[in-house]
Amino acid sequence: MTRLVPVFVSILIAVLLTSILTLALGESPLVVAEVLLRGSIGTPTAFGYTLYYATPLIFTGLAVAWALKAGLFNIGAEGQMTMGGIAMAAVGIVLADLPGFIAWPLAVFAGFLAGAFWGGMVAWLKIRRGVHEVLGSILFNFISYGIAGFVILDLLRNHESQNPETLPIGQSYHLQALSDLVGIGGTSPLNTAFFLALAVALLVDVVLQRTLFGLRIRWTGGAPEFARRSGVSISATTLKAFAISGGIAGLAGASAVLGYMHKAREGFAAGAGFVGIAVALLGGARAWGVVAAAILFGGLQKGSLDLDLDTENISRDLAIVVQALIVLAVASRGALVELWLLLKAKYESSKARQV
Amino acid sequence: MDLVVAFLESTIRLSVPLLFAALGGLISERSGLANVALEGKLLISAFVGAAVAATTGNPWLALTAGVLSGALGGWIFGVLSVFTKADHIVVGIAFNMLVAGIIPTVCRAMFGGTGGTPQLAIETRMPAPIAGDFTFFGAALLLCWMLHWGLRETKWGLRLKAAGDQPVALIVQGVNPNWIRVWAGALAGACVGFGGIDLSMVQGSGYIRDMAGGRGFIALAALILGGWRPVPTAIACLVFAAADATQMLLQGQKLFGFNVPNSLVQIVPYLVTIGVLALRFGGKGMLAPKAINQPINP
Repeated sequence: MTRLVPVFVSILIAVLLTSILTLALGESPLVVAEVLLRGSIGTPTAFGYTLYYATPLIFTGLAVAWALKAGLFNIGAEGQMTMGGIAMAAVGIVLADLPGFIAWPLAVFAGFLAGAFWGGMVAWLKIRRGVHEVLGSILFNFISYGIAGFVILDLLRNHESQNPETLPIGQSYHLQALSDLVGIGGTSPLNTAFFLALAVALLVDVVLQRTLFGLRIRWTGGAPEFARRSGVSISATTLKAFAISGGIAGLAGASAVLGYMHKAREGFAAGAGFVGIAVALLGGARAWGVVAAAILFGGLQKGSLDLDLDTENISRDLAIVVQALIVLAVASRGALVELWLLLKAKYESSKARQV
Repeated sequence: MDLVVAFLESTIRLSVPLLFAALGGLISERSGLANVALEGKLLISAFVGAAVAATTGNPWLALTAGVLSGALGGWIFGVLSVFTKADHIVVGIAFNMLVAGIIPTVCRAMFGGTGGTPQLAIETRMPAPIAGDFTFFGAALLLCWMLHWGLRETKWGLRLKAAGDQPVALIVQGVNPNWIRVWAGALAGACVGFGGIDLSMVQGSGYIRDMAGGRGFIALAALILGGWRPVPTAIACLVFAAADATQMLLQGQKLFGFNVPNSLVQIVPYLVTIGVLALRFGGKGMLAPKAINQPINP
């Protein structure tokens, strides 16, 4: 339990700072909190939407957290997710008539491969050419937007639609909505991709904690010198770890592309790759932490949509502010602990003097 | 011939924000403060400049406010990175996120919409003798020369480099390298601020959401490619600006009888950046400051 204290303190600090910003903009923090809660967990449909928003965040959060275990910073999840979603849509359009039992698994696999390829290139540039993975990821993000734009607006464009979107994917590729399947989530687009996300979370945890490969990854990240002397190839582990991280991020588009839109629309990633960084930093120690953080941030995103209408001065962008502040607070928890210990020591020495 | 002139002109124009951002980043990174937050600082200063110009109508006040807001952003980024002993890259990403969230929020409270400031009237932008005639470009080259000279010849430059390479040497002298990093962050932010002003008040006529469009990251690439040295960094910025100018000229053009889709043309600068980084022209002397992104315990 004590391991969770810094996390809750970080969230508390972020909430406090956001309240100050809200007050400065002339809105009441209580009203904002009420809007956020009502919009995220107020009704079954609202909660369904929260889980729907959380689904891609679980994938991208797991991707970033997995790379962090190997000592790598994958801030390219947005691009990997974009490439994965495009690959899923492309398979679903080109091979539209495949039978159901093979169709969607094939699309999901294609998404994984596309994301893994995108991540693998960043890792290759790091290992062979010394390009730092942070810079490589950022540049590949921009390239992926261009490629996605080309596929959606030119190659597979649906010319009958007014929107910038591809042709629809085959019926057999659709992931079922949970409201039809088991009657949860109200009328939200929550679909079976959520269970896929939970399964991947479980798998990630098992691989990292229980397998030799997971051990190699954690050695490479935690004690590279030790890993090298134990015969682990740092560059091979880096390449594999980063490619798999990219692959996990590549799955993140499944919920929107296969489960809801049934096509790829421009900007379907909608920043989930970047929020995934915040998710991983908040809950990334274990996979269930990622799931919890993703649901928290999903709720924040869903709830903040109502801020545009229900308040005068605040917009949905407040969710990004809260997320950024949580990351800052989590990142600086070392200093917070130091400050706490310092205050405690001062308090105890003053008490000792009184006696 | 017209095409060549147009190409050179737009290369110079597009290089200005890159030059200011990359040279600012150079100050920060040479002091050991890894800076992936250049993008955020470009956006802050572009927004603050345009917002002040829109509300007061005074471009000089706007320039001052934009540069100061960049400096303040850099100072805050420095304090958060240095004194919390957090990873500078994590802080930088969070900083960029924070800016991406706060600007639309403030923008809506001030101007009623999250998309940007109202269009600036011509007299509230930077006046023509300053905006035209490549004055900002000249200022950026001057900054480059000043850094080239200052890093070698001044006490300030030597201390800056020591904070990034060998902080212990400063501690022995009784100078706190942490504060050098913080102030380097602030100075860097001020330099980046000129780039932001260039975006919203010289090239543009007001702030548009996310108008930096990744230039902060391309500037970072230029800085790395330039081996953390001012003159090669400036050259790298010009190369990337030329790639961007090519991209703009190619838009809507036919190439070998084919319509080149704009979405593909737009990735040319990033492909060039990746390609040049991967091939790594320049050879030796390309190493990062030794103590970059490492906390110091004085």
